[in-house]
Amino acid sequence: MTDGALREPTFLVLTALAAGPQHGYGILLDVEQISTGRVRLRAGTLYAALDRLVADDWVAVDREEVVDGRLRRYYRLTDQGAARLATEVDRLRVTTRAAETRLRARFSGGTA
Amino acid sequence: MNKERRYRRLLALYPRDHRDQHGEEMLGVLLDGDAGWRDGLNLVGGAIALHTRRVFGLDGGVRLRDVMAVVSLLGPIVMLAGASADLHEIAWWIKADSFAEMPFEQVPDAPVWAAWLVVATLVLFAQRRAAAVSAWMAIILHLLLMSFLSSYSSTYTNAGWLLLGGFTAISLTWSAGPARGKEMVGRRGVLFAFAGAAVAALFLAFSPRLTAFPPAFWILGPVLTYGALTLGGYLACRRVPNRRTGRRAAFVLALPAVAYLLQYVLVALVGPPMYWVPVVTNAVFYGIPVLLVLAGNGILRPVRTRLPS
Repeated sequence: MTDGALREPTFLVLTALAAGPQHGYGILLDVEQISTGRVRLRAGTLYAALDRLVADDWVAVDREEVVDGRLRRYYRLTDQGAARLATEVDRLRVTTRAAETRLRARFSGGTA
Repeated sequence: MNKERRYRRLLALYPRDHRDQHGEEMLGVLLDGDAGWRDGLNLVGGAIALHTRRVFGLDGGVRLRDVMAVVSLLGPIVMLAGASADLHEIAWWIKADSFAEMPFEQVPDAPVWAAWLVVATLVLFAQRRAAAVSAWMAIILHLLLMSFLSSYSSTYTNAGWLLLGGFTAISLTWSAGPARGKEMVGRRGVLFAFAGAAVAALFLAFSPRLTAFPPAFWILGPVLTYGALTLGGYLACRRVPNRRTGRRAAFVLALPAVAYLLQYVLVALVGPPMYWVPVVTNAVFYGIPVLLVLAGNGILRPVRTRLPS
């Protein structure tokens, strides 16, 4: 999973955890906020993604709490996960820059 | 039905270990949020996807080396059940007081099963290397018999035994070995495997008596034989602490039953053309069980890891 582009839910979950450890519901809210309401993850999708990310050592369980009689498990980004997210950000930056350059040239009437 | 009960029912669709690990946590998330019918649908889809991924071993969690260690211990024991037809034949000649006149053609594969008896004994006495060498010799002998002995029955009926023998030999050669297998299944696991093989052998020995009944009853022979064999292997592998690893090992031990079932179903569906092109027949009867074992143990996982996440 290290070579290809990250899927958007994976990218958003990693981004949410980059700020610090969060529990499942917190990640859902954060993902919605980061994507300005465009992406709303659901529990089934979130935990499938977390399972894969934990298996790949990109995310780890940080701690557990019991709140109102319910288990809350906090997840954190590992160094490996942070490195992968950074790689993805670089990749996106390069493609975004290329797109910007070409659009600028197009709108100013020249060629890229 | 209140929300919590409804979600609990949906979460029950997930594999047990996933439920144990994430069930309460997921329930909390669903109850904290403003979950609706789409979330319910998402849970069903997630459960189906997870089961599918696990069938093909895509999410890891199965320790291949442990699967092989269990097979290296129990495989030779299960293989002993294959000798039952020969034993039944020998018993008949002894009963007729003419064992000395018994033609070799009556039990052409006896040397193969004798070799597996040696393998099983060596495994139980912790002689792993010698057991591995003997297992490969038993397989070569089996293949030679199938290839050159015209009186020996078809190649297809041996598919399950040869496949189990092959995986057992590979496991004896390249895994952590029977000692590790015994750590996982314990003495009781070994006894379950022995009991399964013994009961299967008894059923197989008594199968010819079913011919006294209408043909519809004849199927009972192989059903009971392979059923006992599979149950013995399953009960033995249930003792493996990692259940998924145990189930994969049980599947390998059930290969004689899997191959028989596959053959039965395909012949019922396709009919005689199934046997028209021997290369295709062999590829199907040997290839499908091999593919199932490899897929179940995660051979497709490297393919997934090359895909974008």
